[in-house]
Amino acid sequence: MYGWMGTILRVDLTSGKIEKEPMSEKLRLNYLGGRGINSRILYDSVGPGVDALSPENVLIFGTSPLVGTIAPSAARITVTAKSPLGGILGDGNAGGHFSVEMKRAGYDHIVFTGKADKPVYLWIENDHVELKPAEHLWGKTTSETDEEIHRELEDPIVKIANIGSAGENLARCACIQFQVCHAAGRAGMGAVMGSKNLKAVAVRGTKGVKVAHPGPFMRLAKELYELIMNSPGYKELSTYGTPAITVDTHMMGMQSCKNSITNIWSEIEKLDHRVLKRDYYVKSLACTACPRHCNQAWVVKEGPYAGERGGKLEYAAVGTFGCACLISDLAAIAKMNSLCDEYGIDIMEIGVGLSAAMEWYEKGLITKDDTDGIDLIWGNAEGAIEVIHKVARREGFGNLLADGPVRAAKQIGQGADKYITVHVKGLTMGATDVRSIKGHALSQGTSSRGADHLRGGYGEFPEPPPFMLPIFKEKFGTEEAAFAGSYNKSAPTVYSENSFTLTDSLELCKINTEWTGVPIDIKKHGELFSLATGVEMDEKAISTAADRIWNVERAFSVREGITRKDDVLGGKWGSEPIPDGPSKGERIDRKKFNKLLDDYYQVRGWDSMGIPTASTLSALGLEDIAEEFRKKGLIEAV
Amino acid sequence: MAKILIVNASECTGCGACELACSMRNVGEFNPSRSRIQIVSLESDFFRLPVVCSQCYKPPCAAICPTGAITRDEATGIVEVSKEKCDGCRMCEEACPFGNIFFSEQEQKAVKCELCGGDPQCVLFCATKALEFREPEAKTAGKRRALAEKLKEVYQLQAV
Repeated sequence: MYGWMGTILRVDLTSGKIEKEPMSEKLRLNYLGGRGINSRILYDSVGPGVDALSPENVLIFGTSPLVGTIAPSAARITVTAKSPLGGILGDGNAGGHFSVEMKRAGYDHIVFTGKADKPVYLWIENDHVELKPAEHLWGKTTSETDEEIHRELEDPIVKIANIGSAGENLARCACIQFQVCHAAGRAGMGAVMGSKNLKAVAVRGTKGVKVAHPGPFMRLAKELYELIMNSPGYKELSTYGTPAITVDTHMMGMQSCKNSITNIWSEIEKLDHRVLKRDYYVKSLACTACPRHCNQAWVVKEGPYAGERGGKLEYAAVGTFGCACLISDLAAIAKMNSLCDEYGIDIMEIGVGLSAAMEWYEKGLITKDDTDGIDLIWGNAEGAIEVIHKVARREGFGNLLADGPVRAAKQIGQGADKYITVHVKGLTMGATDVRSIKGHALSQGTSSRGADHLRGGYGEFPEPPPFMLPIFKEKFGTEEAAFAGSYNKSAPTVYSENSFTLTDSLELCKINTEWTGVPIDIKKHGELFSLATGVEMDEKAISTAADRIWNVERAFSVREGITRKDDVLGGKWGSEPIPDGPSKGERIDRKKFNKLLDDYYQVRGWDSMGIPTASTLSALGLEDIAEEFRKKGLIEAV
Repeated sequence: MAKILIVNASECTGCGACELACSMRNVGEFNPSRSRIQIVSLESDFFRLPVVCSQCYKPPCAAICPTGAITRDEATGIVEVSKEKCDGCRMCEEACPFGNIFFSEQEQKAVKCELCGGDPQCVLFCATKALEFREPEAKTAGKRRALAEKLKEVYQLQAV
């Protein structure tokens, strides 16, 4: 077999039984790998109404047929489960070097079921797979756990995924850390891992990954490396990492500041990426096979946080902890980032939660009595740090915020959810204000894991650069869609959702695709897939696979009760206009957004409630789902 | 003058593309454990070092080889292992101070970087020029220049 290793590892934590299952051709050809195969396994394994934190949930790690090859940035991993935040499909995606190590050990996917009676970790060394006790690791931070397991296994090359206290304590905002600084951040996957008493997965693999057409594959890979290295933004992201966009986002009026009370902040220069580089960055690092090397290792050299060090200080942290909470001290932001890595907390969920909490505090919805005496005023970095500690321990006010701002708002009542910047299906999203970019707003609404910036969104600008117009004309038959303010966005949104679905299913990185202006598009994904696996898929065929994956993800959520009403933006961005700055007055017009949803459902082949129709499902070979939906009365019987 | 592989460790991001290109070229699969170039990662120190044969002028691996399997080509400077002559005794592994020649379980022979016969594939995929294939003079000249850059500040201080 080329590309895939051909094996799914099944680990039942309740019984301790470990099985190796050949991966069926049906699964491979219909769902490709990574996120795609994970989503289908989830659909088949977890029925409606299952409590996400119960042993009935599964936890799936997925690599792809490209992982382990030299295809640029084919190093990612998707972790999938029913989300404890949204109660719908949940997944998190991480980079680093774990995914390739797991693939080289011989496994495309690992499916965890059940719950261990005591804390354990899984140790994989090629064919040897073993559950080992982890009681001595419970309570340790992710870097302590990483160090301890390396000591135990006496092999520095072992790659480790683990959870910190947040996951152990079932904080719904918990994530899974890979090699400490890479995170499968979104949708509470760390809490699911904690609920299974699974502290870590350690893996070492020395097998080779083979491709069907080595010569052409190497030539295509080389071509793609050059496309990436000659693309606009290569230098910025490889030098500064994602914080390179903070100041520009602010300049365009799209940076949410002070929890979106304003989009202008006088202290924005203090978060300039050039300051980060000058004062904090020490070394540029990369995930496997990635020429982008956007991971900038950093060290805090002086002040109260001196000695803090880590990797991957992302825009997500600078945008939410910085701009949204008005914390202008980069060293404090670095400290918060580091704590989230050590405890295993999703920086977006906690960042949005903290900025909402600061506004709740300002408006008197909560007081010092609720915050355990913490004076949670704007810009209070020490207070914010204290809250992060409490979230990981589920202590006092932290216990409230640990389940994410949407659940916290329900507890607080008084319409507290209106102060959250944005939430969709229980998930919140970082600090780039999408009110002025309607296609991105739509993709927040339709994202299959809830509010998120990495599920869809095709380049759109207030004043599109001239070269964009013919691209839109060719791809979507209209130039109008290139303009940020236009509501003519169904076609580019569906295209981008499919493109992102393929990037995730082949476990490449979106930073090296058309998302950031690199001409690595759906067609190129098809070429890489075909040369690696020997299974020919042209642009149309691989787009159909993406459609199929997207519909299975939708079907999972529909089965949980999700419909049209859940596809709208909750919180401030769904109802209020941008208050000031260059995008002042931009808002999501409810009527136009509703029309846009109609258009989108039509392109997707869904009914007016957002439910995939019988003909859409059967055209994608999903008759089994159509049949299930008929039985449940979700679609009309024939 | 024959070109050599020059390693600029400070530029290495640890992406491992060199190992992947090497193993594909030499063993037909992507497998760093069989790559002739190896990146050593000191994770917590953010340090990555590509380790690869420097094609010694007087190779200790060749000197110790009992079958005369290891020779240095005078024209290209490449130190090569003859698959026919190597009997897999692993003496060369002992002799090399850097771990740059090693025994391949699969081939039952000693293997090492042979610069892909003069067109090293690792260099093609190195995004940061941590690996370069050029004249050795450039290496020493480059180091002298780097030294000058460091000393510059010291001398300028004295001048003030």
